[in-house]
Amino acid sequence: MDQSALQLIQIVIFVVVGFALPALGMILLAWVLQLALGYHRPNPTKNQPYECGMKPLQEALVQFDIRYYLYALLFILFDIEVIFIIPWLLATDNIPRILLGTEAFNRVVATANAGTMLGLKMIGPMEIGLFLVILTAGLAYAWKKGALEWEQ
Amino acid sequence: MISNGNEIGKLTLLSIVWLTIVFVAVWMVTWAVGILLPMILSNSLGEKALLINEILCFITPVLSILVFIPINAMFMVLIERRALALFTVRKGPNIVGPDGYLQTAADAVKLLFKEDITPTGADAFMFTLAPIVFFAPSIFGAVPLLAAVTNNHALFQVLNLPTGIFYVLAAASIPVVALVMAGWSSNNKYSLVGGLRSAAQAISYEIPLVLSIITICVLAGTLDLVKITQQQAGGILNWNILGGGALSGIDKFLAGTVTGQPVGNILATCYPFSGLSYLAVGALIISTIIAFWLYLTGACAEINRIPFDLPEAESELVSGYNTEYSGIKFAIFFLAEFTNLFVVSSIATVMFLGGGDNPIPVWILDSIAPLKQAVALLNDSFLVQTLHLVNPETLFSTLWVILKVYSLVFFAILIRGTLPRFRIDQLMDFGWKRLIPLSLIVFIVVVFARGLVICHG
Repeated sequence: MDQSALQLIQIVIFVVVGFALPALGMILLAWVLQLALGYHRPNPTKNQPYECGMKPLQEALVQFDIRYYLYALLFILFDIEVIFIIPWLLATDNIPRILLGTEAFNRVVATANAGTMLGLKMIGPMEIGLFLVILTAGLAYAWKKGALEWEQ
Repeated sequence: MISNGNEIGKLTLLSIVWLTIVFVAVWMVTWAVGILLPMILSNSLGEKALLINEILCFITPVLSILVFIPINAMFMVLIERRALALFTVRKGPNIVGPDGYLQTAADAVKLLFKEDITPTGADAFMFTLAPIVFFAPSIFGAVPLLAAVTNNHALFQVLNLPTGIFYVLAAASIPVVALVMAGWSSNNKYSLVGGLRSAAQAISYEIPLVLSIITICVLAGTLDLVKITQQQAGGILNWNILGGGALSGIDKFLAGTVTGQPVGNILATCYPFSGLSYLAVGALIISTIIAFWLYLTGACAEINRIPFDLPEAESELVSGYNTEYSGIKFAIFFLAEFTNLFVVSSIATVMFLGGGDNPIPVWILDSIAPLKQAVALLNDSFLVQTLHLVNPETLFSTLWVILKVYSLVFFAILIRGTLPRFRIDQLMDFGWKRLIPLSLIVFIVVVFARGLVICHG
């Protein structure tokens, strides 16, 4: 078996163990202890949801604030940004080579002075910089619109 | 000032005793299943043992994690309570067992015997599933970390993933779903508010957290945790917290100068743009230290620790999302919380503090003769050669990892003993208006400065 297949199997084992073991262990333990000690005597008062000692006033599943939703929307913006940064960071050192083609790239590097090398090295950072500027403009807009104010 | 040197001594003794218990237990289990058993089997069965060995190779890391998590959580809860008592000049738990050493073991047993209550009107299925979903990611999120913290030890080698840190971050973002599930299914207003707060908080602080990690990945040029650890080998100057390898050229230059070897043009190779490059080195060092701070802050918020423990703020929300939980379900929440603290500390150790690397530069260590002799002596001993009980290559790195990870855990406890809780609007303001712009700036600075220096060259 090659290495990546082994890793996949390993991860599947961990996911299964991670979910199945706590689940089974928890249910089994609770069940065994209840059987052994007979300690499961529910009554309506005991099972009441806790609300500082008094009877719960209304439904617990109340409507919640729209502000949580706004933050979630903004979060998606930045989460996607991170997802796009990851492939960039893995490819960034090869960007000039890909843009110019290997042959031309080698030719340029062989005769390059410090200024040219600096220019080549800055192509990758420039690209992600542009990307971040656009996204930061989104954050700035949301900020200006007051989406980041908790008290309104 | 009240002198409590005696208490500090007791706390240190307690940590050493418990840490020894934790790691000797894990070490013995791993060694017995991963090395001793295959050795015996291959002696007695010969060729047939191959398949069993393959299976054992899969089981060993799983078993070691399963042994480690509960014992470690017991230790961490105990040390937290004792340390908080120390900070507030109290005694802390000191009755159960010798000087309170067994307090948390007794607590664990007590929690198992408690009655398991499901409140009326609760969604029973979700209510049961939530603790499991909360606990599971800390097990399978630890998979690539295990390879990195053991310095790619042969027993854990297969766990290493090329997308290591990405996988860990993906696993680390699952628990928030569990908190919302717990809050929503409990049929309790406190739980609901706690669950929603935890969702809002976790998604806000995930951005600086992930951006600071990505900053380090940009410097390392890879997502592979083992590679990131190996790049940082050779002393504190190579660690990611100090410029992410930007100082490695200076490290080489110093090593060459001290040992009298020709240094050639190491400095010119590593810092090709002279003045501009040194400026970039300075910027990188400052940026990575800020990134480390951003990571610690984001991680504190992700795992709901003070000052970011709004989801369970006991003075406002009783106990937040776990108000209605009792018995074993509560125990699992508790266990997972402390395991998460351990996991984020290990990520910090691997990403920023060089994993198992020795902080003293290699060229200083090499000049100490007795140390070399001691290592050679250990290497030739019966323990290593016949029993394979100790691997000298990973022994010291494991000790360093333990020291670093538990220092970070202690730091989290120190913060808990020091800072008050945020208010929800302060929390959101701090996250969105301070941390996120700061992490973007750090990222951009690192991206541009990295082009001017040969990092980890």
